[in-house]
Amino acid sequence: MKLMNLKIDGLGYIKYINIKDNSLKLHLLEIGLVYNTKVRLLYKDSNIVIINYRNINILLSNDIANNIEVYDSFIR
Amino acid sequence: MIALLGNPNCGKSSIFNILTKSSRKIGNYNGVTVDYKIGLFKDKKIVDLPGVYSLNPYTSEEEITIDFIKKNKIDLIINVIDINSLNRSLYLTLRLQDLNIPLIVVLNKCENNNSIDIEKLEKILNIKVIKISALKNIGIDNLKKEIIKSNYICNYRIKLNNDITSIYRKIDIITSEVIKNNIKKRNSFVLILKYKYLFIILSIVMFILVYYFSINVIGGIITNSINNIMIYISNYLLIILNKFNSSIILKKLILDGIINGIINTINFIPQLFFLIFILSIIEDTGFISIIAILFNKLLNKIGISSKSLYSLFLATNCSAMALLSTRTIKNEYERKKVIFLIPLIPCCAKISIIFFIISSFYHNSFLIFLSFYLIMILIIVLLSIIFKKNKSRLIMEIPHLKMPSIKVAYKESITKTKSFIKRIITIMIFISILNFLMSSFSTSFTYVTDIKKSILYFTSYKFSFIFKPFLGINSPSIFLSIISGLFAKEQVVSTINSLKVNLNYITAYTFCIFNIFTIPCINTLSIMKKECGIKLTIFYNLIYLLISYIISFIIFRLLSYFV
Repeated sequence: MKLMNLKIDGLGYIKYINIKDNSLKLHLLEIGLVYNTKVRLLYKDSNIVIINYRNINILLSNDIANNIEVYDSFIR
Repeated sequence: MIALLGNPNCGKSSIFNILTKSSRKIGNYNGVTVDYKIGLFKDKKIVDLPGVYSLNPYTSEEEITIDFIKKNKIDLIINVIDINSLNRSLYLTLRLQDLNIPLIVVLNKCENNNSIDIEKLEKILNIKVIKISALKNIGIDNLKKEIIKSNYICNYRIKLNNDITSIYRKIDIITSEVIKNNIKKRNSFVLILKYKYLFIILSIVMFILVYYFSINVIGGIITNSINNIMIYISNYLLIILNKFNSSIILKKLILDGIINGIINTINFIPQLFFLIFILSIIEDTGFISIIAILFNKLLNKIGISSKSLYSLFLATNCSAMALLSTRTIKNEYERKKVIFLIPLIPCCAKISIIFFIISSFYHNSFLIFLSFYLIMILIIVLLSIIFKKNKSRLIMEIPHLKMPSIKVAYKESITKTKSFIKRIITIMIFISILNFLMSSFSTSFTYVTDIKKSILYFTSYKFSFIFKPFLGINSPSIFLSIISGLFAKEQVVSTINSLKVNLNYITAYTFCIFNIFTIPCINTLSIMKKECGIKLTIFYNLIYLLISYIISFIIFRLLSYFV
């Protein structure tokens, strides 16, 4: 499911990032949004989402959040 | 050369300030440092670089860091890590190890976190790890000792897989071994978002109170006392000058020109100091990011992203600094739009003009002060809507809220106020002498007492008609004061005082509006040229001139008609 479809305070694990812009995709991976990273959705509205992962909070615009797929449970 | 490197907002500049005894700007949000600065610790050069997450730059300030590392010989990298986000920061550490440059890791912000097993981390990474708190001055001596004895030879090399996921997997293993007890930081901003509307009202009230207090309380009590002291000094100087039988020309130059200008500008220093102090405290808490989120929907409607709000907030302090901070904005169109909007926000120097006008003509009326800001907000919103384009992609790290440091805020306010005073005095002495010469001598270089026969009147009168539509008078002095504002905006106040410009409560208002929206100071102009090129700088400044002229004209006509 899409990251932004998580409920507020809901948990998800990154499945993949489906963004064509390679530099943006690389940036997202390098800031730690890699496969199986646990993310918690803290806030969402019509423009942005705020997630918490690795003890940091990050704001993403919806067009980015729309292209991040998550699992709802950890995959070994 | 020693390089301070780390993620944004991990405390690199704080460490740089301690080591080099500098006063670089620090703040609790990403992208405070957007350019490198070199300082000296003992005989070693230390460079403070903008924050990066990896060795692949994403924004333009990250490019500066990577370019610097590539183009300069770095003898040692001090990798600064925020101890609270070790899990994410170690990615850069592992990448830096690949550069084969001697490396030490500094775990900063340890004042509330004692959960890391340092020895284990050192062993795993095979790097010297030092725990410090730049804020509380803990562990700084250890760091200094380590730098002094540094004669590093890199004899290790961890083979890294280029797969980012596997690097993070390795980091997860490292952190699970070295973190003794995981401290869960309370996400206080989740609570704020829950009561969003309450906090929107509270933040508006907070800013109104800050400005109200600085105008009415500080302006009313302290400023008046300073004024009395300065008048006493001025009278004392007059006695001394009389004692030495000084000529009228010298008395006029010192008392009317320099001293009068200084008195009227220094009057506003307490107000400015208070304002900078409170704004620094707000900045240090990280509350600006909360405001950016609270007002996100509204900002989006006018085409400004939350990230741009940092630059716009910095503009209340100094336009030049705010222009540099736009480097963190990835979208070029948005960046240029924010560059355009920044000079329209009153910086400290422009606020001194507002303070002068409201104290001289409106008995420190807070409503008049508010009206200047409301006009400014209206213009910025209108221009933002006009230049609105599709939404841009946005990634922004939100700092954790923290208790502000009074020491940091005090230091920043002192530094800013000192540079403000220094600028006033240096430029003002030059302008005062120039003013004096131009207003006291005729075109044939003979001393004149009637200003109408002076060079000033002769040269400025030709251009002063430009301002008649919104000032109602042909005043060469107004022309000169506006021109002097190009050197530094705070200069406008002292020039007005030195030249004894005749303003009434209507023209004072329109004069202030003109100065808020007109061309910024030379420093801002040169940074604007650097950031967006000469053509765009000329275009923007023509618009500023047009806006300032039209708005002050409309307000002058309205006020003349109704009041």
